[in-house]
Amino acid sequence: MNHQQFETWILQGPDLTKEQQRELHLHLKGCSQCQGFYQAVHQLDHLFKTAPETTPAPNFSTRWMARIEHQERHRNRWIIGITLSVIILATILLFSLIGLELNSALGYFPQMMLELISFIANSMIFLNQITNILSPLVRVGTKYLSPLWIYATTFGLSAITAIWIITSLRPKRFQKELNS
Amino acid sequence: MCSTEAQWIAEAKTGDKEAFSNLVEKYQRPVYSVCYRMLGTPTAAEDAAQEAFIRAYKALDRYDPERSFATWLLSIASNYSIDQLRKRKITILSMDSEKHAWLAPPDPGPSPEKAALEREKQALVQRILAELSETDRAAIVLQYWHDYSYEEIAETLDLSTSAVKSRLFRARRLLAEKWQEIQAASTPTVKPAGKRIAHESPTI
Repeated sequence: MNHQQFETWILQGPDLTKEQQRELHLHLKGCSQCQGFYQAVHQLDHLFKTAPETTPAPNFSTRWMARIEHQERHRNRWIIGITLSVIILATILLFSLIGLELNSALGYFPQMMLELISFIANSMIFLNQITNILSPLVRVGTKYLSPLWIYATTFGLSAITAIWIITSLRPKRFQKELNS
Repeated sequence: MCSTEAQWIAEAKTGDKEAFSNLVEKYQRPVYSVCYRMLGTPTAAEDAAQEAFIRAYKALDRYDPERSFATWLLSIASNYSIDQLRKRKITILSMDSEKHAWLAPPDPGPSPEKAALEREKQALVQRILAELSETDRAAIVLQYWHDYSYEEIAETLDLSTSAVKSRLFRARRLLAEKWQEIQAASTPTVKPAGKRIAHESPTI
């Protein structure tokens, strides 16, 4: 006898066809084991369906409100904490970088000052030499040259001076050291 | 879904906690019931139900109004309870059942005797449910205490309908066997403890 089939039918319950129900009914009359199983299934169904209803303690929604507000406060504090930590870390990092840059620039400071002094001295010497050359020319030229030639010469010399100043503003040796 | 409920949901989506607390008020019993049947103690059930509502509130933007709100809410509650069971390895029948018995149903009966009987019945139900795996237990709870159809259980637990049917079939057989064992143990002289295994396999 295939008890497994009847067990399946017992568990299927109301989904059985009339014919299956009749067959099961006949089997249960003659099989105490299947009848035991049948009773167990039905007693269990009854137990579950008549189990007392469970309800939460009063003021459940008030407690829910308090809980979510507490969680939100906690989350906000956490966000503020994280934001402040990031700002503080970023500030520390920025100041560290500035400090490092200043430290490396300080190494070149005496050299920078020497370059500046050298540039000023060269400029003074150049201006002095120009004055020495131009003074007699101006004195003679004003007598024999037309004003147009004097203006052209002055403009040309000024252009040459400007080019010299521009090129001397970029000291090659200092640039090389910085690059290295 | 009634229009008031839809309005509460719409308001809660804008961050109105008061509106959502109306939904909490309305659905606290089914959500708590699922959590209680799953976790077995009032304290764990309260905690899980509260957390399920919080999760629902936070995930409200993802709620599809085409679905039943109750089904969606119970799916959050049952999945959270399943996770809790897996995490904590809660044994439903524990000393907790006795310890928190005063918290269980607030006032189940007029007499202390009836209350004691109901507590005993409650403990028995939880003891039997503890035999099942987390997902099987959720399926049984939804079927017996919430009258969910196979399709609704499948939707709630994110399973296929055939998987739900097979899980429920297996779970009910296991529970019936357990129940027979309990009955046999309580009345040893009436009938022998009929082990199903001997009965199930006549062809072997």
